[in-house]
Amino acid sequence: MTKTKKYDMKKNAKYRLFIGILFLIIGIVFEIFGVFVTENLGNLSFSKWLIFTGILLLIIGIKNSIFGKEVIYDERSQMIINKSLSFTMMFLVYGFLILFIIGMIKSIKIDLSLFVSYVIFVFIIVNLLAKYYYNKKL
Amino acid sequence: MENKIQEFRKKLKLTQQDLADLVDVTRQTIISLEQGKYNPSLELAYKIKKELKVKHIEDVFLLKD
Repeated sequence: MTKTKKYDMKKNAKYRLFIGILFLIIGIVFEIFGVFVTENLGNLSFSKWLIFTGILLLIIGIKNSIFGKEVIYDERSQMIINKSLSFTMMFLVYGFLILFIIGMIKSIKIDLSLFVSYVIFVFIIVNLLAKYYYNKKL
Repeated sequence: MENKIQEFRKKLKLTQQDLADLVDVTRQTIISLEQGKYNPSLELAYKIKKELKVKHIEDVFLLKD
């Protein structure tokens, strides 16, 4: 049996808040002094990305510190996580294979940061759907 | 695998949450077990047998042919 793990969202929110504040401060300092402002990450400069991520982490941290609950990961939930993760990885591998074959027929050109954001987006959505499916099935 | 968790649990007047707390799993796991959707690990099966005060594990869990 996989050992049951407990995750207290309220307790762990403080780390997220700390990282959020840190990102926000570094982002603002970089923005003021013009450090890394010309290096683009997609459509954002590095300093703006830090500010945006910091605000996002702060929002999630505040939400978790108010409404957070204790999440229990027992053997069933850990099995669901493992199964959905392996399904998502297989989905991505086959997706890349299809893209590779299409790429051999017709050349595809895409910005790397945009491609990575697509991959992350697909990963999150497929993983959520897989978790929902296995939660109903098991 | 079939099981008689619900039957023994009701005899002991335990709720699904009570049993879940006793064997250190979530209520959703007990629901899945009772519905026969999920097969527990050997350790969890023994824990359930112990908490339901049953002598033999075969009395709770039955292997389908």
